[in-house]
Amino acid sequence: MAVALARDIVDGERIISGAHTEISFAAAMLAQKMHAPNIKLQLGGTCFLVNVSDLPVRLPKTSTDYRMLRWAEVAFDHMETFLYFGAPGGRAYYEGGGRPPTNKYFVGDKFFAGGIQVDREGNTNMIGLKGEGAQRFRFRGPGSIGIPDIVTVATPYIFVTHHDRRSLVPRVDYVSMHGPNGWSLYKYPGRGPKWIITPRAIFTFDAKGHAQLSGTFAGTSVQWVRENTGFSFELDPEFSEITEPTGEELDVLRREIDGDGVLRSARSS
Amino acid sequence: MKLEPISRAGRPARRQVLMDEEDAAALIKDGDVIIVGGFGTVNHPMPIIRALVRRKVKNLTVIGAATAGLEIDLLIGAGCVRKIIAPYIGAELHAPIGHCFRRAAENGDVEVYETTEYLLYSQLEAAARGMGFMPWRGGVGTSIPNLNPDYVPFNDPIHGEPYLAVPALHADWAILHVAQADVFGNGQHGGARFGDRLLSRAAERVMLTAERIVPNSEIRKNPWATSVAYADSVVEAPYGAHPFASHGFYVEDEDAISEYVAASVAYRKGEVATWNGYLEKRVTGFENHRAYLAALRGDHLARVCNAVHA
Repeated sequence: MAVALARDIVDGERIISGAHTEISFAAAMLAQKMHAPNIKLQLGGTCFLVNVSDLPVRLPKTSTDYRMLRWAEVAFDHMETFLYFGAPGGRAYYEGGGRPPTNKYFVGDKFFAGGIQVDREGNTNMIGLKGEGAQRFRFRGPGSIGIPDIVTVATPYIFVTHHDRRSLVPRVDYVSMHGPNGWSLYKYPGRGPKWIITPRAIFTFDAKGHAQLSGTFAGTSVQWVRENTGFSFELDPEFSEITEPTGEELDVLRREIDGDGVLRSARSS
Repeated sequence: MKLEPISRAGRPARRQVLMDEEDAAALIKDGDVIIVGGFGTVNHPMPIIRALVRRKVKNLTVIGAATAGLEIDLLIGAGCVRKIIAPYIGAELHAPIGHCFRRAAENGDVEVYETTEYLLYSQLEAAARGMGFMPWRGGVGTSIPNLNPDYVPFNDPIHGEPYLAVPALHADWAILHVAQADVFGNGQHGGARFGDRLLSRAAERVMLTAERIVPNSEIRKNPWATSVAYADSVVEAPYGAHPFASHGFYVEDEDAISEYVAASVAYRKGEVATWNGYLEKRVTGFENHRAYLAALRGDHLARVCNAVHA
């Protein structure tokens, strides 16, 4: 997943990676080390603007790890995110890429949003599962964190760490973040989520705002995805199997970013 | 007009606010609204949190940081909390969702005020500025304003765009952990400050735990580094964020956090004896923070400190 996300990052983009997203931390740092040394990278609420292209790093277990501050080139207070993220770098830094070429206010290009449920229209739920009667929650989720805030300025990738019918559902119980249809209805900037990425597959969205299967990771069939996804979907006309990670990609990821095996231990837990 | 001449005779001393943690915790009453600073697994004022549990404080409304951690989970599990205001309660890979929080929310034992990071920040900013409300765009059209009627949809009267009106939040106390403070209540952080400066400005009163107490001259060497001025209470608390990290001093004590998480899983499953055993062993079974520290093995603390420089 980290390699696939890194491949979709373009040099010069503004990338925001939040909490409990070791996959997106790894993806963004991999991109910065491999092909995109000019991305402006915010790691969690701790480090605003990090450039690790030539630095040794250790993928942290939390987004607040003090040791990350050694990579930071500027740090702001967390509540000032929307005031200052865009400040340094100058106007020329941003020109092109379809975003306002300004450094006056907080604008990001890409963000990564988790979900305990994701549905066919790309709505995500971090709040919980509905209970019966007076019980509000049958299952209480972690909360919406800053996802509904960040999406007012950046395009999210939705990630789920388990591909099953409990996570990928026909309709979410609560909406923390809209898919493309709610996105345009409520006038958020941009077009809304770009992908739903799981350990098995990547979905994009068709013109109706419905998830379509665009790629599978090696070893996963379309049939497997159909059997383990709680909503029906069409195949993207450009569907293909995703090229496996190269030796170089894996080498940089495992040796230069995640020497402690945080991604592997997170996957097995 | 008669103006009395002034004199230095009888001049009152400058107010000093250094106190021990029991006296500080006693300032917080049943039913108060408290804000707890720090972020995730970092910079939580644990001596005060543990003292509140020892004192069996009840019916608190707790406003967590934008990413609140297991310090709030502990207060919930210990039965101190009536209402919780936080956009997240957990500890990432250590515990994606706080286990006590999850059980209490599912059982309806605590009221959950559904929010997001910037809805909450906007509410605190409104409080800090003395305004009735602030506008914010995040959360428009989601389930959040349905679950929380405090958030009122409206259209921007100038451009017609949809917004939420978010009311100022009242808080009696903000309780924060800093690197150093002086006896007059000036506190400075040792790394990331997260939302702490805003949290301190939104509350009626501020309480600090500090890794070390320094002379006022040390504060004046770098006044730009002062994140909180004139707090109402300062408590000297070396290792005061343990088992969490204190930026500039030590990283997370992962073994101690794992021990907490295991106990909180027992709480979630209704294994009361296991949870109470943990509280006795690590929270309530000590007279004060000094005794808490004495019970930790020295190599434990050396390891988390050295990791900062590793």
